[in-house]
Formats: sequence, structure tokens, C-alpha cells
Amino acid sequence: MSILTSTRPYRIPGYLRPRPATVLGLAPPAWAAVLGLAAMAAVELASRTGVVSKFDLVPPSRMAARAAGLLTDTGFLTGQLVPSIGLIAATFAIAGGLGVAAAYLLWRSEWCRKATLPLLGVYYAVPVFAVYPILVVLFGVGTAPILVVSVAFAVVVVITNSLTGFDSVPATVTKLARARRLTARQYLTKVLLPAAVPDVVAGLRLGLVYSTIGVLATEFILSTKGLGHFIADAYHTFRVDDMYAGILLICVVALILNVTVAAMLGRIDWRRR
Amino acid sequence: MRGRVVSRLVDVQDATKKFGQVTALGPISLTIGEGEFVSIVGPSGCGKSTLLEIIGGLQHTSSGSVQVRGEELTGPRDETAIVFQDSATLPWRTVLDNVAFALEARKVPRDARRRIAEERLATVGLQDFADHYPAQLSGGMRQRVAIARALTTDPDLILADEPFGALDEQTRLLMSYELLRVVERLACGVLFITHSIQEAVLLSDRVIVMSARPGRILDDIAIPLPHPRDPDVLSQPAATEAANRIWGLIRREAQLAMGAAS
Amino acid sequence: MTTAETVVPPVVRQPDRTSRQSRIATASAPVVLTLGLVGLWWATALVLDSSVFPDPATAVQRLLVNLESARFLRSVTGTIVRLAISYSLVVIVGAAIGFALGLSRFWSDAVSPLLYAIYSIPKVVLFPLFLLFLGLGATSQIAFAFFSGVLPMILMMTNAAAAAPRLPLKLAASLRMSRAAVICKIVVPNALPAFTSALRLTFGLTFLGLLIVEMFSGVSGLGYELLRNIPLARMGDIIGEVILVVVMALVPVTALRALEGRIHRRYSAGGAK
Repeated sequence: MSILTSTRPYRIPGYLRPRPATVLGLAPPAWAAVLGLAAMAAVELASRTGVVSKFDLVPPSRMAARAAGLLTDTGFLTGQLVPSIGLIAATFAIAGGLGVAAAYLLWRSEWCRKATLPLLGVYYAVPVFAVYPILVVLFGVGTAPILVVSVAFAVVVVITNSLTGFDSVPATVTKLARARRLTARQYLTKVLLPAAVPDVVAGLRLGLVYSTIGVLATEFILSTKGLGHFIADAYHTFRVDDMYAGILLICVVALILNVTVAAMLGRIDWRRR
Repeated sequence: MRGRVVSRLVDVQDATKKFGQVTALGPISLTIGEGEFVSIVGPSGCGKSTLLEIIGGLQHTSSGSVQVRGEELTGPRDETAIVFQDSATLPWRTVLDNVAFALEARKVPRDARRRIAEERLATVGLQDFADHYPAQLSGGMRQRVAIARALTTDPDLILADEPFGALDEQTRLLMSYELLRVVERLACGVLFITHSIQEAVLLSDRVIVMSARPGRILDDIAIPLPHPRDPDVLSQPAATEAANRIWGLIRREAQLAMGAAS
Repeated sequence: MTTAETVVPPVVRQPDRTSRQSRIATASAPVVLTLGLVGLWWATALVLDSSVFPDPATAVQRLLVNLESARFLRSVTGTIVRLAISYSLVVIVGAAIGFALGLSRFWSDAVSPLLYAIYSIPKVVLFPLFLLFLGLGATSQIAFAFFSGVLPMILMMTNAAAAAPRLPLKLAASLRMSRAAVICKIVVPNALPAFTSALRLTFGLTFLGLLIVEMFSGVSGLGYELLRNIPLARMGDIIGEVILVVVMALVPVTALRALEGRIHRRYSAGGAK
């Protein structure tokens, strides 16, 4: 008779059984949404009922309302939002270009690779932002230091990922290219760059994340304008509503930037087709 | 001594396996006698590995029954040992600790574990490598470790899922002779999945040929070669005849499978 | 076919020749580069005004002078203590949560999107929330540094626990091993290499988070010292402190890299064929 009706106690171990499709009728994505919404509802409740002081926590509904209000305020837009987004975009462009170029240099020169790789390996262990004060003393508070620090922060992740991409050209393809006597430039454009695209794309996506973090963190620590500065300023002047609205806006902006760039880069990423 | 089939060890009746609406396997009915060496050959994707895992208690059937020693199978059995295609050795343990792994799962005390593991390692000829790590061994040697591990629990049924599949041709040949030597001294039943007709004929008492998906049994061919066997036995006419018969069936199925793929 | 341009560079990677010459080259290259950069620094300092851009010797000297001051020493030890506490919490709490989550494929699939979403927010802008709820002192700084490091640790350990290779699990199932035994004997050892990598990566992130919040709102600590010297334009002191930060970061990270290398060699499946 069918195994399923057997009464022997031992069954196939749980760790070998496939993941259940649903728990309590919901699949994982539904659970993610449920948990996220529950968290937001809890925050809304806690702030409205006064469980948490009204000066510390603001209902998400009011955060959203204030954020919408900020978006219609031209002063905010020109003074904080646009400069920050502009800086992030500029950082991303520079870090991306420099990173890929530097990776190509490392790939071409064995000595450069040997010299630089250990340093790149420990690069992110060292808080890069420590050099921000140096730059501020040299150049004053403004766009240049923020740009330099953010690019320095974002470029290494682009380099390491792009280098992995260049290294990933299969040896047999390289041999084929040499047999066909491709010039260095043809090899770069027709073989190396296309092969490296998936890893370069991964590196660029991380580069965008790091650019965002870099710009906002430096604006936050010390700056006269920008989204990061807006939040710091709102905190210092006890404008809690503005602070939360600013945080919410940053989350939304970060999400939109990531999704847009991911979609754009995804079109050339052949591993995901 | 091998070759005398005494009683039924494994009895599969009309087993099928469905994934969703698709029938991947079956219906299959087969038996394995105690002390019998049975090979299964068939095209890729026909469900041989699924069948092996079902008999090993790692998967349920969708319908039909599997009995081992007269009892309905509900999960893995202590007396069954499985050898997988990739040796499934744990890279962080020494060879000896890998061989002893099965006994460790049984909570056999340490000294007894060591002793038995050393004996089984010697059986497969790797006694000098007890303190090495799997990464330092070749693929063939790692499979010998897996076989030694399977032998530590004195199983009455060994299930081998293409154990030599990842090896090159020459190593395969040597490994099959090696396996023959080990198995000739044991009394356990063996179910052996392979792509190599030569291996199947060399080692088995019976060869089961399966069709392409959904896998069913096309034929159950007895190999009437005498025991104890040695590699020369392949040159006997009975061996060639069996091999040709198997190949005739396989070729058709392989062509069907290739046609289905394109 | 031009004759002027070079043909494809022969970068079919040679297996590392462990000849003495090549090993010396590999080890010395980063040292040479570092010395070269320091030399460049010295040269620049000679060219520029020494009060604006001091040379390395002055910076080290200022650092040593500062280290003799009791107040500065208290600042530095304060940072070290806070770093130790937050990093320990990251390792213990983060690894435990991440590992437990990874054991359940269903729940890791459900919760991961939320974790990734939080991970992609520039965390520094959430720091005012920590200040609001935990006050201005060490608690909020430790909590934020913990928060910076724990998310990547959780994500990495979740992946590590979920990535247990299938064949050993089937083997364990065929041996009727209990779930606990499988976790101890297979899942944990398999996750150890990823754990050591996570140890190294999260150290840098934790330290970075701590430094940023010390810069923003500290009353003591290295980050505070750095920022404090900006309006005083004490470049020598600032650069000396940056050197201290680099040393403080490099020592543990070098040790963690060594550990990572050893564990990876022993535990990884890749090896001699």
C-alpha cells in the first residue's frame, strides 16, 4: 500500500525536504510585505498613542505628508535635494569611470596588480572618511571635498569587481583571440569588456550604493547644504517632523536610484538575460 | 560467495514518481535478491537516480510500494549504504574521519570507529592516506574513500549512483576492477547505476535497462558469467552477447532522448 | 592587420611560479608602492606650505605629542572600548541571527528582501534616530556601530548557512542523522570560511560607523578629535590622528585576513585534483 499511510515513525529528514511553498497560506514575498507593513503599523500606533514620546517618533503618515510638502518646496528642492542627487550622480560617474579604467590598468600590468591588490584588500577596513577633515582644511567646506571623499569611497568596490570581470575571460577565448591576431584595442572592445560586463555591472551597482552613502555621510557630518546636512540640521534644531521626512525622502531616493540604475545596467548584463 | 541468490532483499511494486503533473518515473517493478549485484543503465534524465533515492528512502514514491526485507520503506535504513556520484567527502575532515563519519552518526565509540575505519581503508588500499585531506586526493581516491565509508556499517544493501561518473576513462576502468575485487568478498546486495555497459556487464548478475523519461523498465538481462569474476571475464562470448543486447536497447532510447532534446 | 599596434597581450595567467624570485616580487610590490606614495607625500609637503600640508615626520611627531596628553589618550581608549563592544556584539548577535535564519529556507526567503532594503539605505542618516532614542552618550554610538556591522553579518551568515552543499546532506539523511548533528557536523563547518570573511568585512564597517558618529556627535573619541581640529586647522594633528586610525584598523584586519586564509585553505572544497 502507499507509503503515505504507513505508521512507522521515521520519515525523510526535514533538512532534506524541499522548502514549503507557503506557511499559513502565504508565500515568502507575501510574508515580506506582511512583516514590513506590520512594522510600519506598529510605528504608526506607537507614535499616535503616545507610547513613545511625540518628540521622538512621528507617525509614518505624517512623515509622508511632510515629505510630500518638502517636495513642493522649491527652496528645499534647489537647496538640498538637487545638489545631493547631483553629487551622487557625479560621484557615481567619476567612480565608475575611474574604477573600470584602473581595473584595466591593474589587469594589464602584473606589477601594478601585485602592488595594489593587498592595499585594495584592506582598503575598506580603514575608515576612509577620516581624511575628510584634511580635505576640509585644505579646500574648505564645499562640493570638492565631498566629491573627493565619496569617489575615494566608491571607486575601490568598482575596481575589485571589474578586475574580477576582466579575469573571468575563459583562457580558451583568449587563445582564440590570439590565434585570430586581434589587436589590443579589438581585444578590449570585442572580448574583454563584453566578457567583463556582468561583474562590472555588479561593481557599478555597489558603486552607486557606496556613492550614495559617501555623499550623504559627508554632508551629514559637515556641510552647508544637501540632504545629509538637512537631516543633521533638522536634528540639531529639534525639527523632528522635518528630520523624519528627510530620512523618508532619502530612503525613497536611494530606492529609486538603485532600481533605475539596476534596470539600465540590466539591459547590457548578459548573465541575466 | 556471490551468485547464489537466496531471497528477496528489495521489492519494488509499481512505483511511480510524479513532480507536479509530470510523471518522471514509472511505473517500475523490480526486485533485488540478497547478495545480488544489479546494474541499471539508461539514458540521461530517465529517473535512475530518483529510483535509487527512492529505494534508499530519501524520496517518497507518488504511488506504488517499496519493501526492503519484507517491510515497507518509510525512510533511510541503517543497513543500507549509499555511494554518491561525487564522493560527498567533507573537506575539513581527514580521510580517516571521513570514513568514520557513518559510524560517528551511529554513535559508535571513538576507538571502535577508528579501528573499523582503518580496516575499511585498508580494504580499498588507502591505508597510507588516513591523515590526508580530501583535497589532496585525486577523484578516484576520493571515491574509494566513499566506498570505504559505505562499508564501515556492514550494509546488506549498497546503492551506488554512478560512483565513477566523474572520473576519466582509464581511472574508471581501474576503479571498476577495484570494486569487483572488494565486492566479490561481500555478501550484500548492490544496486549500481552506470552509463558504462562494460562496467555493468563486468560487475553485475543482472542488468536492468531503462527507457527515456518517463523511465520504465525495458528489459531485465541476466549476466550468466561465473563467480568469482576477474577482468578477463569480459572477453567471454556471453559477456559480448549481453553487452550487445544492452547496447541495442540503449541506442534506441538514447536517440529518442537526443531527439527530444533538440 | 596592422603592424604598429600590439597583438593581444599574453595574459593567459600562468599558474603562480613559486620560485624565490617571483615570491619576493609579490611580497615586495605593495611595500614598494606604499613607500613610493609616502615619498610622494613628502615631496608634496616640501613644495607646499608646511603649515597647510605637513610632511610625514611632522604628522608622526604631532601624534606622539598628543598621545602623551591624558585627555587624548582617554579619547583614543574610549574609541577602542566602544569599537570592541560593538564589534563583539556584531559577531555574536549577528552571526547567531544570520545563521539561525539561514537554516530555514522559507524564512530566509521571506525576511531577506526586508534586510536588503534596510541595507541599501545610507545608514548614517538614521543616526539621529539613535540619538533621539538612546541619548547622546556612548550607548547610541555603540548601538549605531553595531547596526552598521550587524546587517552585513546577518546577510552573509544567512547565505552561508543556506549554502550547505546538497550531497553531504543526502549522505547525512541516508545515515539517519538528526537535525542537530547535521547542523554541528556539516552546516557549521561548511559556513566557517564565509564566517571568517564576514568577520573581516564587518570589522571595517563597524569601525567606519563608529567613527562617523563620533565625528557627528561625540564629546570624546577619535572621530571627535578629528573633527575638533578642523576649525583649528591643525593639519599636523589631523594627519597624525588619521595615521593612528589607519594603524588601528590595519592591525586587526591583517590578523583577520590571516585567519581567513587559513580557514579557507583547510575548509574549502577546492583543492588539488
